[in-house]
Amino acid sequence: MDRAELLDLAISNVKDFTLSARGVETKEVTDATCLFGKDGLLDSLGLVSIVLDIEQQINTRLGTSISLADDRAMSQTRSPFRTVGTLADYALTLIQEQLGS
Amino acid sequence: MEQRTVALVTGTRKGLGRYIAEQLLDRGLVVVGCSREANTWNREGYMHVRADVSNEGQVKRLVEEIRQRYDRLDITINNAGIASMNHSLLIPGATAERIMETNFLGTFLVSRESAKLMRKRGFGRIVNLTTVAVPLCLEGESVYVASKSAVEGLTHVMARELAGFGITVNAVGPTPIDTDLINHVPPEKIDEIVQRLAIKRIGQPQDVFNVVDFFIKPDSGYITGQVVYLGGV
Repeated sequence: MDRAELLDLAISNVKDFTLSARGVETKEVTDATCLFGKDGLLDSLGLVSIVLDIEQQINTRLGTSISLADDRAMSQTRSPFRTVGTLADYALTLIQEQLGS
Repeated sequence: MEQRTVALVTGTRKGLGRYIAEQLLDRGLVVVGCSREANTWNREGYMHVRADVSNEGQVKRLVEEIRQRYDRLDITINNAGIASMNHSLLIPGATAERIMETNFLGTFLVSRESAKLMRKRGFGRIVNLTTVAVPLCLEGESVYVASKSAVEGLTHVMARELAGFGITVNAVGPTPIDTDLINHVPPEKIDEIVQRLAIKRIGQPQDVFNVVDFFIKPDSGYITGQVVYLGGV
């Protein structure tokens, strides 16, 4: 999976979640959409759900066993989950590390 | 997706785990059981997986197998546990580590992976096994009590964290039950424990299942983070 595919995956998951959780479709979800924090789209439960859903979809599709919420992600000063784009970037890093490409 | 309710019970090769698994099977549930060693029994609706609950990779594979086969998980009973009775000054570090790994880490890993699958349907029941040895501060059970105290702490916190997903987390604390777990405990020690209970008898597996059954009911969705001890401690 390349970055564009991961970005699409993240965007569709965020849209699906906000639709099912709030019954409202979030039209504008982009690379820069803030996921968590003061201006974030999601609460903590929502973020957990999105991270787990994306992680499972990647692992099912690629046969990998990446953990998006690993110790490294939790210890970073700037969370890799702060925007849709940083989440896609972090997933790409983990996939490349595991698949060795 | 499987239409019947699917339950995961750990430590089902014998004793209380097998009893709970068979009670659930009697009620028409699909039951997935696990143990470190090969299983010795089987029934219609039962699937056994060899897995060590303290091994993260094996626990992930166990729940992944449930996801692939049934695509749902409704109930998890964290029954697998070990005990070792000794004075705290005589307990080897390796023994303490083993007890913590099976009782606490195992419960944590199985609960975590179970909840990931349960949340998909917005419903889940997790029941952990603790012991009356915790409130009794039982001498000779320091590490066992510490491991089960950790399980109780986990129960309280996970109950709050998972409530938003429709998952309840509760614990039952049996008195000594007539299973392999207490075979190594001298009868006088068992009697000493029984004398400290309001109801002065050893527990039966059905006493434990009665509480488990209460916690896992669909109607018990407003009950979470609770620890129920048997025998009147």
